[in-house]
Amino acid sequence: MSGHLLRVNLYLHRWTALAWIVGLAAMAFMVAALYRSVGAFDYGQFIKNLPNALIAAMGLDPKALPPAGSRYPVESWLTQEFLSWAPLAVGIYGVVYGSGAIAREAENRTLDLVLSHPVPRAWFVVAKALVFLVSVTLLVVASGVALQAGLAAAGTTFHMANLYLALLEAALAGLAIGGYSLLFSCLFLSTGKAAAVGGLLTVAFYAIDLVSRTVASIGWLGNVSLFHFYRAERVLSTGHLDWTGVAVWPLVAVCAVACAAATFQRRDILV
Amino acid sequence: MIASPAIQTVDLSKRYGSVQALEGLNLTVQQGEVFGFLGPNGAGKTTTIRVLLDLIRPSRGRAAVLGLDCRRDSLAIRRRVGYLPGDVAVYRPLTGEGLLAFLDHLRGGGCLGRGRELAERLDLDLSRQIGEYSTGMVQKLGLIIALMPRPDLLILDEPTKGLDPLVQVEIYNILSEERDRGCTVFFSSHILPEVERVCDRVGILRQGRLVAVEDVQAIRHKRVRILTVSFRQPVPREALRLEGIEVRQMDGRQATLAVYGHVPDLLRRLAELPVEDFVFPEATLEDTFMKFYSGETEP
Repeated sequence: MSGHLLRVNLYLHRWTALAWIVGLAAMAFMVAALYRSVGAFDYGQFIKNLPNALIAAMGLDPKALPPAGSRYPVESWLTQEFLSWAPLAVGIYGVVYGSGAIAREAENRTLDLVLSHPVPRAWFVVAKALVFLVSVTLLVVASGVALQAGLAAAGTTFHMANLYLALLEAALAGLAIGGYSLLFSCLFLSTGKAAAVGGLLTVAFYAIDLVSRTVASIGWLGNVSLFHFYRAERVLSTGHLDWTGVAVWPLVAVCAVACAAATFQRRDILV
Repeated sequence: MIASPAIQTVDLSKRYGSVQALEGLNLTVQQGEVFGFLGPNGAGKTTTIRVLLDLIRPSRGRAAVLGLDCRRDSLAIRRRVGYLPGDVAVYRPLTGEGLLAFLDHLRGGGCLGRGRELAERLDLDLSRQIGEYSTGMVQKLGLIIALMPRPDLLILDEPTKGLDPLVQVEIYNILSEERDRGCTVFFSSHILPEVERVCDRVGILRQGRLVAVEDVQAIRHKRVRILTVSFRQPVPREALRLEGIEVRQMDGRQATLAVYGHVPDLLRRLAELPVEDFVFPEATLEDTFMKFYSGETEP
């Protein structure tokens, strides 16, 4: 694939990517720095008094909460305030980016400019996917650094490798979402339609995961959700990745990008 | 060895849902000629061009460019073709130089110098961000993009749209040089004088069908222009009876004439008459090409 195709697309996407990176990193820093205020407070007791469904919705395991009077664990705090929704945030970025990646170029007619040159259509799709991969990698690194800085500001230390593993899971889930949004972009060549379908699917995955966690009788339903494999608190506590998720997310992303390239290769580019 | 045609379509058809955009187009453009592709909006000109560039796929038939199949050899074709779309769209955050460098890399490099040379000739500042360019400047950039690789085939969709007359003349000069170099030019335009000036042959498309292919010289003889003359005093109808002139309306001191072909005889006759004023507009596409063909060749 032409490196220039990737470089120019990275350049064109730089401000949007920067906005997401700075925004999410700033949020990560604030959450981590706030731990100073809640760490000493008997925050665990407050959480324990909430309904189990709500605790589960926060991404926490009600049984893993600390006993009354003990310091609230930093991994629980980071999970409930940042990491529980981090894959959704990366996923929304994926929907916004992926749905417009090809369709917006068609709508702006810049697709004609590139495709009237000797460039295989698949290269163009792969370049767009790689731009997202690079952006999400920077997003994860910046968020990790911001969390580390925030915890340092809160006077706390944490096992950073575990933190980065949790962020890696969030990023992989986001890549899968970005992948299928890119597919919809190639399928519809309409940013609006692709964003609507990609967004609805993502919300559906999130809702299914949430409901399956809170209603035990339909817990099995969670298996169809991309968010099902993501358990930040467990990764933060044990440093163990969910290998099913680690296999499924990239597989979904790669298959979606391959289907996007194949779809784009075959379809008419209408004006 | 006989060179394969620059463009050849056989029974080329394209349907969008219920709309038949192209129907059985059989067209041959020889290498080295400047071919005008004319027709009203929605006639199928852009559809044809997009099929040639493999941006859309035909529903039926086939198309070849420079002897290569449009679908199978799409990449090889695009290496040898320069294309200017009807509405030039470019990446506005880039500078002119940045965009040319990017597109040069996509072609494998080596033609940026030619791009700079053309920019100088067309007085286009490549150091500025494209977002700051006017419509005419974007059009110039589009032309440079098409011409930069010294292609074997140039496909130009209304190349002088939005350009001032001086730049238009420069574009005609460049196209003339390209033809001398052996480049084939496939030229879509609505401006009749431009077509007459630049093209060797024209093809006229209507409702997705090719209704005529003519030499430009032949079309000149078939040209219809409407002349309205006012006289200081009444003039008999017979005074305007000339070969190639049809008196469409005669109202004492005012006459409306349809003028076919050359006008010297008419001008000589008018000089002998008490002419007060006259209006002789440039023949439009509708007045000549389309009107002529609509009566003779139904799609």
